[in-house]
Parts: sequence; C-alpha cells; structure tokens
Amino acid sequence: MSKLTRRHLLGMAGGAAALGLVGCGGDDDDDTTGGDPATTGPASTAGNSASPATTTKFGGVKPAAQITFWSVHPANSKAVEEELIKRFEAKNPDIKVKLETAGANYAEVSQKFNAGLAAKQIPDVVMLSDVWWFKYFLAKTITPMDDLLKELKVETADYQDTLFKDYQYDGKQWAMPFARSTPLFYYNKQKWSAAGLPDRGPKTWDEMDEWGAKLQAKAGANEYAFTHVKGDSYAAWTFQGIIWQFGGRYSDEQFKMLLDSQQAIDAGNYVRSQVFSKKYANVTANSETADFVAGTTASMLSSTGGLAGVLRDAKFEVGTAFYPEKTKFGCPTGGAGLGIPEAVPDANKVAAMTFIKFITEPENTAYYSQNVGYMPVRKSAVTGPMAEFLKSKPQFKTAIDQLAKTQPQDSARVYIPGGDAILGKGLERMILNNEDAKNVWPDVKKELEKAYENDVKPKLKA
Amino acid sequence: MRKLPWKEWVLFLAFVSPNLVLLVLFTYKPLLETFRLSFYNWDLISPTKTWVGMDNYTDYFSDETDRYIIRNTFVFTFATVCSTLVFGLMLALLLNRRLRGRDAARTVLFAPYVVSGAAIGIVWLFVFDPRFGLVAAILDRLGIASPNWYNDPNYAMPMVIIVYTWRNLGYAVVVYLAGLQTIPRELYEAARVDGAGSFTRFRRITLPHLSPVTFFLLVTSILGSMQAFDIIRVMTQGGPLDSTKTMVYQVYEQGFVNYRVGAASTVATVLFVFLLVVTVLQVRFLERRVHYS
Repeated sequence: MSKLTRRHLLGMAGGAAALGLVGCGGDDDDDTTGGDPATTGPASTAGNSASPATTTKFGGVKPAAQITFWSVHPANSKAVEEELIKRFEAKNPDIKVKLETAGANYAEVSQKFNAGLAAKQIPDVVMLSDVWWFKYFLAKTITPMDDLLKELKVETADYQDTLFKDYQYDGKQWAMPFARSTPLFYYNKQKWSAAGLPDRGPKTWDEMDEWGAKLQAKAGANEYAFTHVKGDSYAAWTFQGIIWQFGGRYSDEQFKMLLDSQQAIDAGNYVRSQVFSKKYANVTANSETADFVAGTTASMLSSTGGLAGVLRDAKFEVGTAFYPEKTKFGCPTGGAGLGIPEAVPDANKVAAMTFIKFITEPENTAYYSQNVGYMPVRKSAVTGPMAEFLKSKPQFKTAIDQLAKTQPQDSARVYIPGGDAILGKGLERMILNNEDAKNVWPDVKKELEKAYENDVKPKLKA
Repeated sequence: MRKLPWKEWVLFLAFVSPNLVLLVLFTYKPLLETFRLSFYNWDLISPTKTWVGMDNYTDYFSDETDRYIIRNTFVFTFATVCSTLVFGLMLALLLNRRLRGRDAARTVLFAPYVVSGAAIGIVWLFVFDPRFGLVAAILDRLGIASPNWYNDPNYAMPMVIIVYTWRNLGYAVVVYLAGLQTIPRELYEAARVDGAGSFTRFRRITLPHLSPVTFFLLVTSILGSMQAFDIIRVMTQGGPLDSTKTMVYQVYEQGFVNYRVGAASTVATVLFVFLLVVTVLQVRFLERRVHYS
C-alpha cells in the first residue's frame, strides 16, 4: 500500500504538471519585454545616444558583433540560408550571424519567440509568417523599422510593393519581406496530355470541373485530379484566393466578418462539391506536394515556396499556372518576413537591419528564389540577376507574373491570432465532413468575432 | 499526537525540506498560479492581464466544442485503459508460461514503453498510411479498402488509441508478470487436487491475487491516458475536426498556439479537478475491493 500512495501522489503531481504547463510563465507581470506601450515610442528611448548630425536615433550606433537569426528554413532552405550568411560575413567581417532552427513551421517559431519573450531569450532577427507578425505588433514586441531603414539607406522603393506593404500598420513598417510566396496552380503535364488536355492550367473553375472529370476517368486507384489540404496545412490560405474568385471575402479591413454572404457560401460549397459530388478531388493525408510528386494527384494549389523542391523531385514535367477564376481573379500573398524584437539593444537592431538589408539585395534574393522557390522580393532582381534563369525555368516566371495581380489577405485570417486555424477548421467541416457551408460559416463567423473582441479590439484601442 | 521534541522537528524538516521545496516551487506554485490565471485574459507576453472573473469558465461550459473535447478525453482514456489492462493481462499469462524465447518476447514487448512518443507517432503514421501503409496492405490482402485514418474523424481516434495502447502494453505486462510471480504455487496445486479446472483456477486464484496490481495499473493508466500528449501531437495534431483533441492537447493549443492563457488555464483546472475526483473515487471505493495477501 505504501507504494500505492506514493504513486497516487505522483499521479497528482502529474495532474499538477499539466497545470504547471500553463502556470510557468505566470509571475512576470513586471517584465520589460514589451516596454510600456503608452510611453515607449521609437523616439522616446533614444535621445541621448543620437548625435546631432543624423536624423534618426540610430545615427552613430556601432553594429553589434554578433546577432542571432531564428528561422524555420521554410521549404528545406537551410543550406541556402547558410550560404547567404557566408556571403554576408564575407562582406561584413565585423558582424557574425548565428543561424538557429526555431521550429519546423511558422507556428512553432512563433511559439518559441513567445516563450523567448517571457524568458528574455530572444533573437535579433526572427522569421514571422503572414499570420503571426501582427500578433507581435499588437503586443508591442517587434520594433518599428522606419528609422533603421532610413539610417541604413535601404532602397525601399525597389521592394515588390505588395510584399513590402503587407507589414505596414499604423503608418509604420513592422517587418521586411523575405520568404514570400503566392499559391500557384501546379499540374502534371504527363497526366494532362494523357487526358487530352491542352498544356496550360484551367482558366476557370468551370473548366477545371470539366477537366477534372476527364483526368479522373484516366486516374488509377487512389489517384485524383486535384487535392485539397487540411486546416493545419493552411487550407484557409489557398481558399483565400477561391473565396475572392467567387466574389466573397472573409472579412473587411474593419474586422467585419463577411462569411454569411451568398458568395462565401457558394465558394465553400464549391470546394466541397469537388470532393463529394464531382469526386475528382480528395483531401491529402499529409502533404499535397508529396502526393503531387508521387503522382497520386494530377494538380494542386500550393505555395511557390516549394517550387524548386517540386521541380527537383518530380519524375515528370511540371507545369505552373495562375489560379483559376470564377467571377473574377483573386490571389493572396503569403510566406514569411523578418522582424526585429523591440527589446534588443540598438546596436543589435542596427546589425540586424544590416543583415536583413543584405540578404534581400537583388543578387541575394535572386539566389534564394532560384534555389528555394520563394518570390524575389526586389523588383530589380527580376529584370537583373534572375532574367536568364526565368527564361530557362518558365515555371518560376508564372509566379512572378501572378504577383502583380495579388492583393493583401483579409484581416480575419492574418490579423486575428488563431484566425487561420478557425477558418481552416471550418473548411475541414466542408471538405472532410461534407457539411453545408450555409451551416458552417455562421459558426466560424461567431468564433472569429469572439477572437477579435477578446484578442484584437482591446489592444487596438490602447 | 504526542508532542515532538524540537530536535526531532529539526531532523524532520531537514529530511523533508529538499523534496518539499522542490514540490512547492515546481508543482504547487504553478498549480496555484494556473488557477489564478484562469480568471484572467492574457496572451503570455503583454505586460497586463485583464481580469475577467468567471468568464472563462462560463465560456468553457457553454461551448459545444469543449464538451466534445471532454468526451474525447474520456473515450480515449476508457478505451486505452481497458485495452491496456485486458491485453496486458492476457500477454502476461502467456509469457508466464515456460515458453521458448520467453525472455526475448518480454524484452520486445517492453521496448515501446521506453521509446520516445514522437518517434512512435512518426513510425505509426507510415503504418496507417491509407495508400502505402502496412495496415492498408494487410486490409488489401483481405479485400477490404483501407479507411482514411488521418482524414476520417471516425477512424482517427481508433488510430491513436491503438498506437497509445501498443506503446503502454509492455508496462502493464511487466507489472502483471511481477504480480503473477508472487502467487504461491501451492494454491494452484491444492486447487488442482480439489478438481478445479483452469478457468476456475484463473477466476478464483489468479484474478483475486492480481487485484492490488490491477488497482495500481488502473490508477496510473487513467492518469497517464488523461494526460497523453506526444502521440496525438505528432500523429493528428488533435484533428481531423477535433476528433482526437483531448483536454491536455487543448491546454497546449489554447496556451501556446492561440496564446489564450486564461482559456488554457481554465481547461487545465477542470482537468485537474477531473483527475482528482477520479483518483479519490478509485481510492475510496475500488480499493476496498482489493485483496491484499
């Protein structure tokens, strides 16, 4: 019995450990990570260190000797990032960059950053995806970059406008584009020609329905013409384009949820019909690119970020095309940018921006783009260092051409913390459970409204 | 109680304090802190927390998804505990015989228990792959189409239950084996002389003598299952459609994915109360029926 009571106690301690999981960061009410939001403007902390000759508070600040860069190496890009760092250190021998793997995906780096802020162990450059940077803006934990950009004479006008402006809020710049993408329509040319289809993507979803039937007629067991992804593979990102194409939106700029519109319902029921009534699409078990490369799906909507990998791994010819249209065209951007934490010293901020500036220079963003698949973030990269490459790899050119037609994503997905997951779960109810969008969207709308009321609204007012 | 002389008090404190300090610091303080946080809204990093009173609790108990997750937690616990105990006992009885290769079999059975849950999850994901997996291949031989274990809400839960049971089976087997070794041989011999059949011997001798061990396994498995996390995190992330989401997973998700610390603390507190009640009930009502020799 003595053993039993000890176990019993241990078990209770285990239960307590589950509680402790949450309790652990609890007592740091007075920490300095956020600064005082009311008083700590970008200018008010500087003052004394700024020399009169310069316009910003960073004038005369000597860059730190070492900075840390938290990355998730999106689309297996670690070696490419290491090469960029090597080039940077060769050019800037006084600044060393320590690359740290901060997770396997964007949600994980965000978790690590959050924990790091509580524990006061933060990097100098952090990778933040489209759906995460705003949370850190709200919490005042990333630094506004305008003074740094000015001080280091970054040619902001040469950045792709949509990609650069994605990180503007309250009239300030909060991050810089780095691993940026759009969804792209990928198709397997071999299967396309076997089904007697022309060598291009479908212009409209109606055409896709027609082609889907033809492709499906030729498909083997467990093979599909098209595949959808689940919520945690960012279904709400690819669907962002589709809902626009149907004339709907998740929400407007003022966080008004618009999911009860007929257009939103039609868009939801359309993707559902691809799976359940037209039966030419499935939902991938774990990775749409793995299925596509393996040939079990003939086409997919997937990030440009994986393009280099798909071209490398596929044993067939790969075609890329714009999103199909419905009543109009619509395509979001996505991927990650780089932010600088507010709490690091000025010297680190300057070194961090020097690094960000360098790795987004035309040759370097071109190098990154060619070897991974993300967009070159500079306009002059497309006409300059990438021109030859784009001629030989037309698949990359599609993505860049499509970029001109993209628009910023709806607030519900990118500005509400957890909004992407809420939308993704709603989409899962349609494409996995065959539930009518008419019944699903009202629940999703309610949940998003609650998240906005709890997590966003109070902070925007402050 | 008789009053202790001060010297004994000092000695008592000296012995008890290292453990006590650790427990207070790393178990009871976070526990109380969590309870406190369940009355706030907080995103883990902002300098201020908003007091919301009972809001987190009223939200929690009025939400349909939360009830679904509680149900999942109990389904998962019930299924894993039952199958672990039943199969564990069966295997232990088998391995208690003098078979060839018995020691090797015991080792093989126990191995999963010491392997990391993340590794187990990844391997089993391959096993359950609806197109290329081992399970699909076996079902295919039998002429049955493999269900889509990852995407079908009706199959995802059985999948994680199977994997979790597989992992913990070895532990139950070892504990049952130890229990079986303590049963005196003479009892069986006497029973045999009296003409008891093998089933009667099992029912009248083996089972009663295993009751302390069973009780121990029941308590620890229930506590373990209700807090299972790693396999679910790796295999399904609580999906599809929350069908494998348990309360512990919800604590993680609310706290460290959605950064709703108040909501996470609420779930954690409710889970704690559940565990406490289940354990107290077991100790009070089940333990009476345990037979100690």
